[in-house]
Amino acid sequence: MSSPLLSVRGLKRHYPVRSGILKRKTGAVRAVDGVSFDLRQGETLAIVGESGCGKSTLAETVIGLDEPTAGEVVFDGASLTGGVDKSVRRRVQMVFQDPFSTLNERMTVGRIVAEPLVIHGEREDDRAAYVRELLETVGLDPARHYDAFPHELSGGQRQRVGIARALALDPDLLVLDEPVSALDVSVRAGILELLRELQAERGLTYLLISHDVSVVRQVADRVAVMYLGEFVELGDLGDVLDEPAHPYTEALLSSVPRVRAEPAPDERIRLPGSPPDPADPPDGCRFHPRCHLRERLDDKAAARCVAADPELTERDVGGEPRQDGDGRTVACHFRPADE
Amino acid sequence: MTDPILRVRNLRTQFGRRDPLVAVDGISYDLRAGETLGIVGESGAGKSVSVRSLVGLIDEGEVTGSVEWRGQELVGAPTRTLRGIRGSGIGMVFQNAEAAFDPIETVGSQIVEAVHASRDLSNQAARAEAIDLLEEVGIGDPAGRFDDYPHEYSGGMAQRAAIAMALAGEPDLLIADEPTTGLDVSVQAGIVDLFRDLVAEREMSLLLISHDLGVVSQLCTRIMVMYAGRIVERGSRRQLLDSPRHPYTGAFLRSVPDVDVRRALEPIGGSPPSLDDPPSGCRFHPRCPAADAGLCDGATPPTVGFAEEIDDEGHEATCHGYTDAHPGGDAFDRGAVDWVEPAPSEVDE
Repeated sequence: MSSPLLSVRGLKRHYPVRSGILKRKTGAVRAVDGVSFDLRQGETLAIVGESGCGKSTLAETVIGLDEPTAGEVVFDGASLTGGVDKSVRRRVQMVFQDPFSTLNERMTVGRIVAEPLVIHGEREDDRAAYVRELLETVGLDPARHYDAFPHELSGGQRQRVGIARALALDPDLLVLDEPVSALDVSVRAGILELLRELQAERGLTYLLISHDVSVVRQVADRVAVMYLGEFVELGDLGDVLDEPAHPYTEALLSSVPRVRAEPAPDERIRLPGSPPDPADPPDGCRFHPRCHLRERLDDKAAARCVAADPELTERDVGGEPRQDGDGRTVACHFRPADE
Repeated sequence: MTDPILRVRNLRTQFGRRDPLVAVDGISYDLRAGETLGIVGESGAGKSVSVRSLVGLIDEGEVTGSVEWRGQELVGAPTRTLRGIRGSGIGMVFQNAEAAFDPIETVGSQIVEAVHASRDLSNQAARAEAIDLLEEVGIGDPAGRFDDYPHEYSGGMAQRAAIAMALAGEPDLLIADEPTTGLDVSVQAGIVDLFRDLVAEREMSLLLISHDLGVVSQLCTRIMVMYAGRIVERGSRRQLLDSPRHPYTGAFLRSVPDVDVRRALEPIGGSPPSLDDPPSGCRFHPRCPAADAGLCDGATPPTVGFAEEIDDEGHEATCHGYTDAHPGGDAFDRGAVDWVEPAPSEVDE
C-alpha cells in the first residue's frame, strides 16, 4: 500500500473574535475544527457542505494560503505548514471558483499562463511554445487565444485558462475550489469532462471543494461531508451518496431538487432552522439541534447527542472490509449501527 | 378552457438604437389562472429581460408587442398603471432578496407599506396582516421579527420576507426570477416547498425563471425553453423532459449533472451567440449537430406541433428538423434522456 500523497491530521483554523474598545479576544470562530484525511495519488476527494461549513478555509489552509491554528499537513513526506520549500509548494496548485476575478484583465492569456513559469524561472528557452501546448491541453486554440485578453473570452474559456495556469508547473495535486459554480450548465459539463481527462492522462490528484452534490457525483472517488468545521462522514463516493449514514448527509442529499417529470415532493427530509454560529457551536454533536434522527430517539438516547461530540469513527457499513485504512467513517452516536 | 390571465404576443425588447441588441426577439405565450409556467435557459437567453418587460421594469430599452393582463394592455401603459399592477395583480420576487428592502427601515414596516399601497386597511389591521404574511412564508416568531432590519435576516429568511412583501397585494400571479439562486441547497429546498404551498393555497399562477432545471421541474407543470432571445420549445413538464423535440433542449438536458447517477456529460459545443449579431436562420444552428447547411442557416425555422396525447396542451418546437426539407425528416434525433433510470452511457465507477 502506497503512502498517501497528502495527509492532513487534526487540522484547525480558528479566527479570533474581538470585542470591546481594547479589542480583547473574547472567543473564536472555529472555521475548521479538527479535520483529518488522507488523499492518495490519482484520487479525487470531494469536500462537500453548505456555506459557512469551513470547506473553503480548509482548502486555503491545506495549500498554505492560511496558517493553521493547530494540526499538520504533510505532502509527499514534507510538511506544508510553516516555512516550506518552493520545490514542494509548486507541486500543489489551486483552481478558483470565479475565473472572472482571478485573471488579470490587462494581461494576455499567454502571459497569464506563463506567469508561474516566470516566477519560478522555468522554461526560459521554450516558454511560449510550452504555453501554447498547455492551451491546447485545456481545449483552447493557441492561434486564437494566446494573444487574447480575458474579457474576450467566455466564462468556460476563462476557467480553462485558470486550469492551464494551474498546470504550468506540472503539479501533482490540484485543489479545485468550486471550479464550475460560476458557469452555465452546458459549459460546466465541458469543464468537468476536461478535469476527468487531465486526471486520467496526467495522474493528477484532486481535492475538490463543492457545495453541489451533483458535481461531486460526476468527478469524485471519495467524499467528505462537512458541517460546522467538522467532517460528519467520509467514505467512497457510492457508499456515501447512495447510502448516507449521517443524518446530515441524508438531509443534504434529499434537499437537491431533482429533475423530474412527476415530482414527489415528500421524499425530502426538511432541515429545520439554519446552521448555528461557528463561534458558538452547539454542545455535543453539532448537528443535534436540527437532527431528524434524534427526534425518533428516546430521552435517554437523545441525551447522548447533547452530552458528547461523536468522534469520526470507522463503522461497519456492510460490504467487503477495507484493508487500506480508507474505510468509511461516520460521526454519529446512532448511525449506521444500533438499528 | 378558461381565458388566459396573461396573454403575451410578439414581445420584443431592444437595447440601443444604432447597434441594437435584441434581448427578447418576438416571444408569445399564454398563462391561465392557477397555472405554473417555468422558463429555462442559460445566461443571456433573455429569460429575465422577458419577464421584466412584461411589467415595465425595463429602464433603457424599448419594449414592443403586446402584453395583456386580464384584458388590459401593459405595453406602453402609464408608469402609474404599471406600478399599481405590480403592487396588486402581479407580485415579483428576484434573486437578490435584500435588494427588495430598504436597509434603513424594518422589514415589518416595509411590508405594512406594501399592504397599505394596495388595500384600504387601518394601521393596526395592516400590521396584523403583515405579521400574518410573515407567518405564512415561514418566518418563526413573526411578531418578534417584525421590527428587525433586513440585515438581521439570513439569506433564506430575507427571501421569505421578500415573498411576503410580494404577497401583500394579494396577487393573482407571482413572477419569480431565480428566487433560489445563491441559496444553500437545504434553504433552497425550503423556498421551493413554500412556492408549492403558496400556489396551491392561494390558487395563484406562477411564472418562474431559473437556470436550474431541477427547481423548475419541481414547481412548474409547463416549461418553455429560451435560446438567444427566442422560445425554441414549449410543452408540459413531461413532454419536455421525456421527449424533448428541439436539439437544444435535448443537449441542455444531457449536460445537466445528475445527483443520483454518474454518467458521461455532454457539453454543448461552442458558445451561445452574441445578441448584437445573432446567427441567421435558426440561432442554434452553429452549435447544432443536426444542422443542415442551406436550410438551418437560411430561413427562420417553423414552429412544429406534436400532438402526443389527447390533453396535449401545445408541445411545440421551433426547428427545421421536422420538415420535409431536412434530410433527417421523421427519424430526427430527439435526444430524449431517461431521468429516472441510469442512462446506458453510465461511467464505470
